[in-house]
Amino acid sequence: MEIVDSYLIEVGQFLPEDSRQDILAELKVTLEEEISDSAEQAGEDPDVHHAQAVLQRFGHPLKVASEYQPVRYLIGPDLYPAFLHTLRVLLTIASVGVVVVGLVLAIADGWQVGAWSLIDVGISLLFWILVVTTGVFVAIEYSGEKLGWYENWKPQRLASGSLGIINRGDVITNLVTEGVFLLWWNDVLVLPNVVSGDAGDLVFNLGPVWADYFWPFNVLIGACFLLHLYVLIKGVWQRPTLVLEITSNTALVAVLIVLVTSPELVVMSNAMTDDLSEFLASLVNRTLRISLLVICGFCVWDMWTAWRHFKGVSWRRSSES
Amino acid sequence: MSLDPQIAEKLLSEMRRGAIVLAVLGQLQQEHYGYSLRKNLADRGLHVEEGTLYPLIRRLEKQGLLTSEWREEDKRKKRFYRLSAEGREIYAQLMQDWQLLNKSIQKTTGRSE
Repeated sequence: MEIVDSYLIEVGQFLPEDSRQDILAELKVTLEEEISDSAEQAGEDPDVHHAQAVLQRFGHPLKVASEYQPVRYLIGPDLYPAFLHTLRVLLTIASVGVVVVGLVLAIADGWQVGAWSLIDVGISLLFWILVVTTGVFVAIEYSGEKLGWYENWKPQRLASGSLGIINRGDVITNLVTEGVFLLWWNDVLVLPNVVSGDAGDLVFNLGPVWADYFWPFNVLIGACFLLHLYVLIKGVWQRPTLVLEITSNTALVAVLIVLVTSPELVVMSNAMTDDLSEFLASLVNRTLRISLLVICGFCVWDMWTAWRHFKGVSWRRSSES
Repeated sequence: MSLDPQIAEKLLSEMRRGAIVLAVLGQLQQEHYGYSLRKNLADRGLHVEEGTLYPLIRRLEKQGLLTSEWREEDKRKKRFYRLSAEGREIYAQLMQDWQLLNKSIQKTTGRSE
């Protein structure tokens, strides 16, 4: 029957070459028997309608052919969670990188590069990360190496204790803030500190008290940056990372409180008149003190959140809800 | 909340998958060709789709559980299958596990007779 032959040709094109003829010969006999039986049950001679009904039951040629082959995945169910995790981490790190570079360029370069160029570069970067990561995992899937993540996992590794899932938004915000601060603190990113007026330029500079904190800030904020990068990759808070988070925030709060109580945080030069200079200096210092106290507030909030993770409060809440 | 019929269908399909293998192995203690095997299973109340059964027989043969040969019957060349020695061994083991599983399920669900 012509329709059966056409069906077999369609199925055959998706079958492996070495077993194609064998499968098709068997399928042909089976189809003919099914069609004869279908016609016999209806008390009729086999015709194209019976053949169509049988082929409909057998299903689409591609589906039938796929049943004769081993199940294959581009990225299989064993590897998929690892793929998704890796992709999420890489894309997050790349996004943070793009935002930091964008902020640096925006402030230092006055947006000469342009927002669209940056978005264009960002999208290209994310696209290539997606392509390369997918390619690597497809290669692993086909090479049969499954990374050994599941097989080699040991419960002993839980000794350090995963105590809570991180809030990615919070961690990324911290990373961007710390990254920009480090660049500014080390003069890689230079912010404008001159206000021009009719009576001359007004120059703002940090007071001498800050000089004592050059290395402490580099060490402290640098450690926070590395800690948050690590935590972002892990995706969970663990006992040691929470201890570090609480310790670093405590140290930061202590330093900030010392700074807030210092007499001259900002010094000004070339002010127009003494009265005006004094008024502006007082205003700027007060503003900076308030800003430092706000930063202290954020640090205390981070400490409180870390402490709740440490005590398992946030985890109990989320598992109860 | 209305039950999604697809959920029940999927669960049933998962449950039947293993049972079909056992039924096929059981039937192939005697020689059958594809169509006669499907008819035989259907006559015993186990309707298996063509697209599932025929590839399954070939997979079982590839795994060494079945042997096959082409022979002419009723003026048609057909491929006949039956259990191999290894297939018989595995079938016996599977049947034993099936009975244990059945007993456990009956005890677990409180439907033990």
